[in-house]
Amino acid sequence: MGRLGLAGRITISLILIAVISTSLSGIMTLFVTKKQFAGYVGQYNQVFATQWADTVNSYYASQGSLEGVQEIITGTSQSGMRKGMGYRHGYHAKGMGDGQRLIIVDMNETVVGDSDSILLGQKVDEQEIALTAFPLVADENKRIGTLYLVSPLTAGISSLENTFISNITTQVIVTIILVGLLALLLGLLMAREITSPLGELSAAIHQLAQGKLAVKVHPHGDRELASLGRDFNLMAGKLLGQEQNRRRFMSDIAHELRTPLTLLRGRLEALQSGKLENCEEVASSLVDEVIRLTWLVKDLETIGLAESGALLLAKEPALINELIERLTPLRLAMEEDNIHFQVSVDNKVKQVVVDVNRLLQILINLLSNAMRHTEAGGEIILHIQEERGGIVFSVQDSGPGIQPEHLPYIFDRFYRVDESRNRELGGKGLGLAIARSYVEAHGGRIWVESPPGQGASFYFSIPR
Amino acid sequence: MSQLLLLVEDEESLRAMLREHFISEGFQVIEARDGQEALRIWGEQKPALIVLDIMLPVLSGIEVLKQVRSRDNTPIIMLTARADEVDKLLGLELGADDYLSKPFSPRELSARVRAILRRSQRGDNGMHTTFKSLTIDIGRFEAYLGSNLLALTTTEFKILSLLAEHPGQVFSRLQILERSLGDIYEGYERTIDTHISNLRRKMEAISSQDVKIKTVYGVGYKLVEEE
Repeated sequence: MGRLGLAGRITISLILIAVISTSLSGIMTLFVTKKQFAGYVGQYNQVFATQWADTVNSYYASQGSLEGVQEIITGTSQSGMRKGMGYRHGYHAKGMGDGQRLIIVDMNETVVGDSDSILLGQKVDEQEIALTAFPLVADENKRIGTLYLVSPLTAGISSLENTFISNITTQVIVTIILVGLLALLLGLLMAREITSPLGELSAAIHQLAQGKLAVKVHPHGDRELASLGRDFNLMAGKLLGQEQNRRRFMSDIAHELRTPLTLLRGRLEALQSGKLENCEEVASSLVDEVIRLTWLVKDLETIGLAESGALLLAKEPALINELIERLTPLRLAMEEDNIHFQVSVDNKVKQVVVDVNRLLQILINLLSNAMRHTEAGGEIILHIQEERGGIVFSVQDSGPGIQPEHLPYIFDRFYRVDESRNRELGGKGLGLAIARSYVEAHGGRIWVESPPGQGASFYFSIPR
Repeated sequence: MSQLLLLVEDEESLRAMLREHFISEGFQVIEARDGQEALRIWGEQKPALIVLDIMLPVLSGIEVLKQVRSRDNTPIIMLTARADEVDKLLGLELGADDYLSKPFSPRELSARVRAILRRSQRGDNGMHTTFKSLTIDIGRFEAYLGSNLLALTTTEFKILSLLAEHPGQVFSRLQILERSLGDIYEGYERTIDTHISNLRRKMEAISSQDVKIKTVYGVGYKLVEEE
């Protein structure tokens, strides 16, 4: 059974159930039929014998003995009986005949009446004749003899019954075979219904394993199987998405590295050829470029770690005031750009348990992003307030806001609202992606609101 | 007195570059290519400090660190190539004195080497960086012009330390930013100007100053002798 497939198992179960239930109902039918027959015969004999017992009893009552009862039984004493038993006559004539035989025995066990007139006057051994016996009782409790009934029904019906039962048995067997075949057919159909989606799924999984990530199955079959198919499609879709994401990430990285590397190479080759004189300015710009590359590598690594869920946090309680203090470089930069920077902190919020450097990075990234989109004379507000479940930070700017079509992608890495912006102006397109990964690593949520005609507001929550 | 450093790094070119750098900074250097060689040399020559790469053939840097620590407290600076190596290193608490992630600045590495050697040789006047009348006490986070204590912020102190370690050398704003504020303030190089002007103001308030921070146009800043 261990190697039996689902199809075989289903078919076999179905056949077993069909055959067992058909056999059981066949056996039940036979049993009931036999019982019914026996009951019918018994009941008929009972009625017949009771009528004859009454007749014999009334004969005894009128004659005082059973002598001459033979004539009543054989129907020869028409004169004697007509008067007294006339009312019985029709019944009597109707009841006898058809090979039915009555034997009446008196208290001395001597046969005094036999409708076949064979045993008259003989002693009867009750064991020997083994017939259905009915006691004859006259005048309340006075036993006068025994009435034996030999019913043709018993024998006749018995053979009828046998034929009937053998018919039924044949039919039951035929039915069992037919039902078994039907079950086989149905089982095979049903099994196909089940195994066909499974087979399709298995083929799709193999394709997936071979790297064909665009594979999809057509979800059909029973509810569970269709849902399994849909789950598979979901999984395949996610894998495809991740793979595309990974590829895009790799090509984005290559793209991001190209510019600084070209720049470095150009300067170094110029130095090598003597076209460029080695001066402080040249050396310093080369170092700067390398520092930027280093930071880029660090950012990419961080994003990679965050996306695989491997970012480790060094959480500790941090005072909000100290956190804001560390935003001084940004404050200075905003002053220089003539942007009004306002910080408003909910009185209740005094400290927050976070990875301080990561939180700072989130804030710097959001504020830098706001600065890039805020003109001189504009305003940036940092709100820190307590809300249910945690602390919500928000960075609100008075810039032109974000077009609705950009909103869903704003936190995607390397996504820039304005492609034409250069690296210095537009940033690397990693700031918001890093912010999101850090917020999510803290178990928080980051989102943006940008009503048309107003500046953008970035929010993020740090749960308690 | 020049001190002996053991440099353990399997990458030939990187090892050569670091060796030249350390020699130019006045250290003596012995090299090892793998963990086993490192342990052997450490046993024979007893270097003052080990610069140890984590990813090494034969015996990993972590293993070398464990074995060294099981016997003595030779200062060790670990070099890591992956962020998760740092996490592992910190998580294990194996007793590395410091670590640097690649890519790093060799200047930063030698600054850390000096800081650790100073710490391990307490009592030496190596705790201080001096240039003319400027004295910087790294351990106490204090800077003096002559006998006058300069009231500096942390950032200003770090900037002045960097400039004083290499008088006459120009540092770009980005370099200064990296050292004084860390890499999270990317893009805020220009705020260094504000810190420098504050620093200058505090230094100029002292009449007897013989050093000053000079702006090199288009490049950055350097610490020079007042003429």
